[in-house]
Formats: sequence, C-alpha cells, structure tokens
Amino acid sequence: MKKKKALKPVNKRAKKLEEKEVFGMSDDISTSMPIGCTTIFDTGWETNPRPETPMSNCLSSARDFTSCSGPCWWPAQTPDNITNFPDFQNQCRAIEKDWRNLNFVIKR
Amino acid sequence: MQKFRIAENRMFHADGHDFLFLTGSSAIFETDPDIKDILEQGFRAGELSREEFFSRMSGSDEENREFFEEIVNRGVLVKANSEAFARTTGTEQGAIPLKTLVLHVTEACNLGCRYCYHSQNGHAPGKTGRTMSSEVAQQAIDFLFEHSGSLEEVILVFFGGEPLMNFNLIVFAVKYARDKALEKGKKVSFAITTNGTLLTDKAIRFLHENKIGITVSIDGFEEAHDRFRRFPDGTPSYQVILPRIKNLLRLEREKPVVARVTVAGDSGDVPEILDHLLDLGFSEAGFAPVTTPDTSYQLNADGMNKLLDQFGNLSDKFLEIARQGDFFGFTNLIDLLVVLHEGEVKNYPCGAGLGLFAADPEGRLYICQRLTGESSCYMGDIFKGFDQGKIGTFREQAEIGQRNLCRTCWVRTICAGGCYHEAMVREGGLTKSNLHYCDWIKTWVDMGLAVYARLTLECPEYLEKLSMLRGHAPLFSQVI
Repeated sequence: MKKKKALKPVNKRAKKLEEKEVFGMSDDISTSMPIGCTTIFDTGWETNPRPETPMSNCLSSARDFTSCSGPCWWPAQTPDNITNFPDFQNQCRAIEKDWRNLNFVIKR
Repeated sequence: MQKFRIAENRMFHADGHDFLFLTGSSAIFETDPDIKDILEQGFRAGELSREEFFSRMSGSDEENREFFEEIVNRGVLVKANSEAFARTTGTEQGAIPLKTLVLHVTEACNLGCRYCYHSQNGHAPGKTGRTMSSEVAQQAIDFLFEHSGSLEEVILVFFGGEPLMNFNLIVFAVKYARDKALEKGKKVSFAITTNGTLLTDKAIRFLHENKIGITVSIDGFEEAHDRFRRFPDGTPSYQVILPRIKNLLRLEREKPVVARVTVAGDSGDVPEILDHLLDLGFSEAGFAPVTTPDTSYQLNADGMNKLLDQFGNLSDKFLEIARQGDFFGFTNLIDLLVVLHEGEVKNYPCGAGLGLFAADPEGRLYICQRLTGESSCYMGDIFKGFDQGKIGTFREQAEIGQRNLCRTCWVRTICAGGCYHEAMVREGGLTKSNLHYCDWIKTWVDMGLAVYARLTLECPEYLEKLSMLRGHAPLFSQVI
C-alpha cells in the first residue's frame, strides 16, 4: 500500500475543516463546538510536587495542552488535588451538574 | 483500542481529477487519485485501529502518522463508535428567531390552474376565499418583529391565492412594516409570488418602488403555459399576463425578478421553456415537479427521467456559459452549486417551522405557505403566540436523525428528506422522507457535483460569485 496522500480543501466547509487543525474543533464539526474551555472536563491542573521545572506549576502540562483550543487556551485556576487538596472534588460527584459546589480554596 | 471507519462519502471525478464529498460535514476535497484505493484496501474489513492501519501502510512511521492525522482531522476517518448523527443544537422551542413570515393576504385566486395544491386544501381555485384584514396584517408584522430575536433583517412575503387581489392590504403592510422596522432599528425586505394577471402599471410601480422581490408563476411559452394555467372558465392566461410581464421586466431592477415553473404531466421541453423565460427578461427560472396526488398531473417515472436528462443538458450549457464568465439563470443548478460551495449541512429539508412560518388570513400560523390550513401543521396564531409544544414536537420528528430510512444515504445532508408538503401528499406523512424521488435527487446531486468540480478546476471565483449572489458572505473576507 502506498503512503501519504493529500486532500486539498475545495468548498468553504472543507476550508473550515482546514482551520479546525489550527483552532481545534470537535469531531462533530456540524455543531462547530470548540473543545477545551468549558465544553469538556479534564481532571485538574495539578501542581508539580517535584523539585524540578515547572516547579509548583502545571503537572502533565503536555496533556493539558492537547486540550487547548488554539487561541482559546485559558487554563482554569483549579486547586491541585494531588499535593494540597486531595478532597477538593468530593463535593462534586458529577461535574456537569455539581460544578457550582466547587467554590474556591484558601492556601493553608 | 479506538477503531476507525471511513466516513460516509461520495467520490467523483472531473477532467482527470478526483474529489471527495463527505456526507457528515458536506466538505469537498480534491484528493490524490489513489486515496480511494488506499482507503478501500486499508478498510476492507470495515474498522481499523491506528496501529492496524499503520501496519498496512508502506511509508515511514512519520509519513504514516502524518497521513493518518490528515484524514482523521479532515473527517475522512471517524471513530467507529461515533454517532452518525449529531443532534442539532439550538432547535429547542423558541430558540430559533423568526426570520420570514409569509402572509396569505387572500385565499382568492382569479386563475383556476388545474394542478393547484390549494384545490386539495378545500380552496377551490378561481373562487373567493377569506381575505386578510389590515388589523391582522398589522398584528402579523408586530409578531414578526417581536419574534425576530437579534436578527437584523426580517422578510415579509405576500402569498395567496393571488396576493395582488388584495393589493391595498399589501400597500398598507409594506408601509406599516417599514415604519415598524425604523422603530425597531431593523431592516425589512419583501417578496411576492404572483400569477402575473394583475400586474397593472400601478402594481408594477408600487412593487418596483418598494424593491419587492417578485416571483412570477409561469410555465413557459404559450402552449406550455396554457396547458394548465387557465382562468376558471377555461380561458388561457398566457396572452393576459404577457404584456404585463413585459412591462414589469422592462424596468431596471434592484431585485431579481424570477420565474417559477411547475412541471406537470410529461415534463415538457424544459430547456426551451428556460430559454423563453430568460429571453422575456426574467433573471432566473426555477423548475419544480407539481405536488399533487392526482396521477394525471404527476410526473411519472418516465417524466422524472426526462426531466433529469433535461436538467443534465441545461447543466452542460450552464457550465459552457460560466466558462465565459457569463450568467445563465437556471435556478435549480445555481441553488445546488451554492449549497455545495457553502458546504451546508442540512438537518432539516428547509426553513419551514424553523425560521419561517405562514399566517393565514385570520392570523393562524402554519409551518409553511404550502401547508396553510393543514391542521397538523397549525402552530399557534399571531394573537396568542406560537404553540411551542407542537413546534418542539415537529422539529424533533422532522430532523434528519429521526429519519431511519435516510440514515445510510450519502446525500442526506443536502436533501434531508425533502419537501414536507410533497411528503404529506405523496408519502402520507409530513415528516416522512420522500422516497419516491430518492434516486432522482441522488442523480441530480451527482450532476451538481460534476459541474461543481469543473468550476472548481476552471473558474473557482465564479462559485464565490454565485454564493454572494445568494447572500452568503465571502470566506475569510476574500475580495473578489
């Protein structure tokens, strides 16, 4: 079997699909829903407990960036539930419904 | 492990180039010639994981990965367990603003066209019927603006019967709607569909001065027209409308004046009819098979095939003329090409019951002008408001995802099941799919794709012009 083949977008919809690669649209492009932001619920942006960069910063930042949506990237400031607030999410069983319970935490 | 399958598609060719239409997104790509083989070889078994796909490819890992990402990103491959249908969002009750209101300014008509669907609704053509009062028109216009949400522009359509039989009401409604638009800071545009018999100098002047979009129902040259379009006493109408239409078409116009031809019986000589209408000075002419349960007027299979052949010939002619950069007003093809160019994904066949409703002379609301008076399509009235429950049920049932028979059809995002009125008359249910013309639609869209591909290769800017002609904004602010 041969290898790489090209698809050249022709109509406007196809050109928008081209944009999708840049801006990160969901699979179902007919609803044109951007992924990232509030449309999916990733687990937290945990702080890095290790003494290396990024110190106290995002853990698994690489994975976070896969869900960023082009210019739409805006990480929520979520308490880390690995190092400091392990029970943070307990008040929120189903995040789609219970996210209002999350509230905020004060650093101890 | 995540498996992938090939998304529903239609491959087509033009002048040695290969193209791919993806049903789910209505995206069209030009492809390398052997992508079809690759996909078919790779996915002969149906579903493959990424790793299985790589194992069947001969390229380097890097090349395979790039190729795989390309076809996944563009939707050629989809997750095997993904829903073929995404639920339409935003069609829940009341979420869609009202854009177009069709006013049945009168049920009366001075013609008695033999195939007229209004005769099936109990309004015998040629007889008098209810007439809309200025109070109802005023309330209807208020209703339109009130329900237009954040839309900047609304459209008011005058329909009948023969709307010009209630000319004074139209004059009133246009003035009232203009004042209302000023008050609300919106735009209003107007359209009328007329049989042409009452296009007096006064009426023409009024329509022209008010930039009202005009559609004339006319079936072609004299012999074709007079076959079915006659006065109730049997007198033919062509010679009556001809001088009036000439007066109308003589004027410089800001809005196109279009002809709408009902194709009935055998399909007649469509190319000759189109030439005749364009020679008269119409901007465009569109053709539609008659909607009737009466088999003496319906197009039979031979008639539909002949119509398709004639559409094919006209498409060839359109292409020839487009290559010269000129315009050929064959509405059916222009509409199809614009749908293809925009990549519209239709979850509903048309705007009826979404952004468009029709009001009868007493202000009762129906999903469209063709189904006015049909109790199952009654959706409230302009005084008490929409019946949101019924509208919600209709939208739920009408959506393409609910049409099991359309599930595997590659053309479903263009056809979406077809005209509700046609479905009611021919299939026995408003939201049934029009199975009697499936093959016809598929062949016609194939013809459209072929023309589209050639235009893409030879004069892509022409497609952009057609799109703009239909009011679409240019992509990425390109200036043509």
